[in-house]
Order: sequence, then structure tokens, then C-alpha cells
Amino acid sequence: MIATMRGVVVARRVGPLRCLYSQFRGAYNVESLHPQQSSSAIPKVPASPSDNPLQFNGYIPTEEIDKSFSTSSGPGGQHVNRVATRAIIRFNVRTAKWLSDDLKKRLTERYSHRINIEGDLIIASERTRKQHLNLADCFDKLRTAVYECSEELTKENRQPDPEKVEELRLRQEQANRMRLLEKRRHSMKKESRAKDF
Amino acid sequence: MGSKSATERALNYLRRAPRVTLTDVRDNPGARTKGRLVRKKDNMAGQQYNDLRGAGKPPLGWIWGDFYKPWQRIYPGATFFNQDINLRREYPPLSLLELQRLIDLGWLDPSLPIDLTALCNTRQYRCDPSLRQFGVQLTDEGASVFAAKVNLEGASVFAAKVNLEVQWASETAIAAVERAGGVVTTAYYDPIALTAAVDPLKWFEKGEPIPRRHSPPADLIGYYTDARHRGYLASPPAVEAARSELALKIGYALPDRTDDAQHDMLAARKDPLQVFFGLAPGWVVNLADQTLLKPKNPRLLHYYSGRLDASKDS
Repeated sequence: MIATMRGVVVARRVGPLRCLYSQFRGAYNVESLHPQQSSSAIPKVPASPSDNPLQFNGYIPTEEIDKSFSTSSGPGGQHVNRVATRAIIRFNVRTAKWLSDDLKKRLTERYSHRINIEGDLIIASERTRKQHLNLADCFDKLRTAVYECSEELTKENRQPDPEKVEELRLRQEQANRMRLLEKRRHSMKKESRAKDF
Repeated sequence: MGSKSATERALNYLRRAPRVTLTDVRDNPGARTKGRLVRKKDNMAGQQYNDLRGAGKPPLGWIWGDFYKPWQRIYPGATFFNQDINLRREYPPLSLLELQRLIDLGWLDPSLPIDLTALCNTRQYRCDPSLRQFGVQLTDEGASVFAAKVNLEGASVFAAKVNLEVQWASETAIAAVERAGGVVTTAYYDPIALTAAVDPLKWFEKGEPIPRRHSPPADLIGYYTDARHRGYLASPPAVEAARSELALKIGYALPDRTDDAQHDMLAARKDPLQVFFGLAPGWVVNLADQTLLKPKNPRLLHYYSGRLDASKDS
């Protein structure tokens, strides 16, 4: 019991344990501080893959990725030999349900050096001295890799919007007009140098 | 359009780059730093024949005694540096390793919420408000496994499912507790409320009413309203979103919360004005008769409920 000091129960008139949590509500209780939460105030964390096959929203199902740990390299004597701080994550790119086909293809192309014969993408990290931080680093690397592929794909597949197309067309026409104008001017200049002008 | 290989990109760069000169071969600034040179005066520093021989060098300002009263705290005349030395807040650390040890050895009961009062009652942790200490700081030492070549699922990670209320917590410490199925909240205690929380017996023996907690100072409001720190003033939906985000970031699956037996305990939170679970501010605890004395005067009720408008008379 929280208000117990050295084994003595303070308020024995308080009923069963459940009453401990039934509340005193002051003027600053959390519900009145945040009465109507607007949806923009709460950050949206992705809970499933994105609908757009070219886009990656940051969602990685950690249960479907194999995590293993081993000893790190480098100096350190007995400690580095015993402590499993190196984190390795691996998953099969072909059978990954959370990646679209386009992303899988691009990932295989760009990170072929990290993929083995069976198609497992393997990422390891021994960046820090802590295992859980190294695991976070592995996921960070994976997330960055997939984001880069997704950005590349989005850039390649973007369609210019009609206003921009029209603007570019007008610019091109103007440039052509100027070019022809200059050509005519130059031609007149050369003509004026002729003997029988 | 496929991506170019690294070799191709490197050759393209070389084609366009200007001639390589000696200045290109030089180190970038800050690439190499000279190590600190050990000078003759550093060795022993003239302390061969007294108690300091062989010991580590003491902290700056240490003048015989404990380490909480260095010279610059006793005589804070320096204004160029350390001017605010006596205003700085301290949070004595509590590692996850220590917390697990306390639970395993029976000092703490994980079936009840663990807050500053519970920790101080064990007498294994100390927090002294008179030394500008403001509460528990949860550190992540002990979050990882220690045995070599062991799979995460089978190893000894921080595994206790606790409802923890601390005053400061690092991100990885929060992740370790939530991964085990527990809950962390960071809450602010002002110095008077802290004095009561740290030693409730002593406070009750004084016969003074339980204080109401005041709001955090301006420079801490940002910390305690942030869901990423699991602040007690942050909105619960934002805290839920931050939980999912942290799980994605660190790389663990959030455990199911279908165990209803512990649901009430894990969902328990103190009101921002409350110091003890089950007791409201303003109540006087009578230890001799084992009773509670609750105020009836509207002015007192108004004050202890935390309202800001002018107190009503009678």
C-alpha cells in the first residue's frame, strides 16, 4: 500500500484495495486539461503498411523479423568476449508481407550486398555498448533503407501536374520565339555586310 | 532508370572534379585530435604521504566531507561560472537493474503501483529535498541481457510488469518497462510535497495536512506535458500513440493488455494535486487513533481542490 510506512496501514477506514485508485479529482485532472482532443494534436503512428505501393509509412512488424545477438568485435578483454551486444536482424525480402512488390524489387537491387542466397536481408549493428540500443540502430538502418527506396520510386513515378505542364510548354514556346528572333537578327546583320545591300 | 553503382558514381565524380592537389589530401579539420599530454605535475600531484595516495582524484571543489557540499556550493561568489549552482535540480538515479533487484529481493511489491514513496520506504533509495533533489531518475542500465549468444526471448531482461511513477526517465528506460508490459509516468513533486512523499511517517507525526502538489515550474512544464516523456500532464491518447511509436523505433512488439487482473493497478494514476494514493490533499492523518480528519471549511476545500479563482468566504 502506497501510504504504508514500515508496515503500518494508515487509513484502515479505506475499503478494499480498489478504493485506493478511486479518485480524488482536483481542478487540474487530465481530462479537464485535455477536454476535446483534436485529431491533429495526437500524432498518427502507422499500425499497418501504406496503401500506396510506392510509399513507405514507417511501419515494420517487429514480430516478423528475426532478432539475434552475438558478441561484438574489437578490444575489451573478458567483457567484450562474454557480453552479447551485437544485434542482428534478418527477414526474407520475398516473403515479407509488409513490403509492396515495387519496394521489394528496389530493395533487392539497392541492398544486394546485404542479402544472402536465400533472399534474407541481414542488418547488423555493434555501434553502441548496449544491446537494446544496437537493436534500435538495426531497425533504424532498415527503416532508412526502405525510406530511401520509397523516395526514389516516388520521384521516378511522379506525374507532373497539368498546370506545370502548361507552364513548361509556354516557356518552351517563348524560348523558341526568342531563338528564331535572334536568328533573324543575326541573319540581317550578316546581310547588311554584303556588298550590294 | 536503375540506380548507379557506387563505382560508377565515384568515377562520374572524378570526371567532373578539379585536379587533386596537396590541399585535398590534407585531413579535414577536427579529424585528428592530439591526446592530452600527461605532464610531470599530474603524477600524484604531491599527495604521496596522506589518505589521497592511490585514490582517484576527488571532484572539483571537494573540501573534506561528503560530496554534496563542494566549495563552490558553500561559497557561491563566482558569477562567471556556476552562478546557478544552488538552483540546479538533481535527480538521484535509479537503474532498472536496481529496481529489478529490489523487486526480486522483496523490497518492492510489483502488484502495487511503485512511486517515490514506495521506493523511499524501502530505505534502499534516498532522495533528500533539502539537497535540491527532486525525485527519481530512471536510467536504462540493466535493460539489456548480459549473457553471450542468448536469444532475447530466453534471456534475463527487465521483466517485471510494474506501474512506475518517477520524476525523470530516459527513453530506453521507458521502452524497457513498456516492453515488459508495465507503465511509466513522470510526475513533478514540488519541494514541500516531496518532503511529505519521501518520509510520510515524519510528515504525519507533525500533524500537518497532506499538501497539495503545485504545478511544475516554467522550465519543466514542457517536459511533463510531453507524451514522449510519459508526462503526467500529457493527454492519454497522445501517450498511447507515443507508446506505439517507441515500440516501432526500438524494435519490440507491444504486449497485449488483456490481463484484467492487473488492469486496475496498471491504470492507476494520481491526480496532479495528489501526493499519496487513496489520500486527498488537505486531509490530516491521525496516527495515534488511526483515523483521517477531512476538512469541511469551503475555503480549505477550495484551496485543496486546486482552483484558481478567488476563494469563497465561509
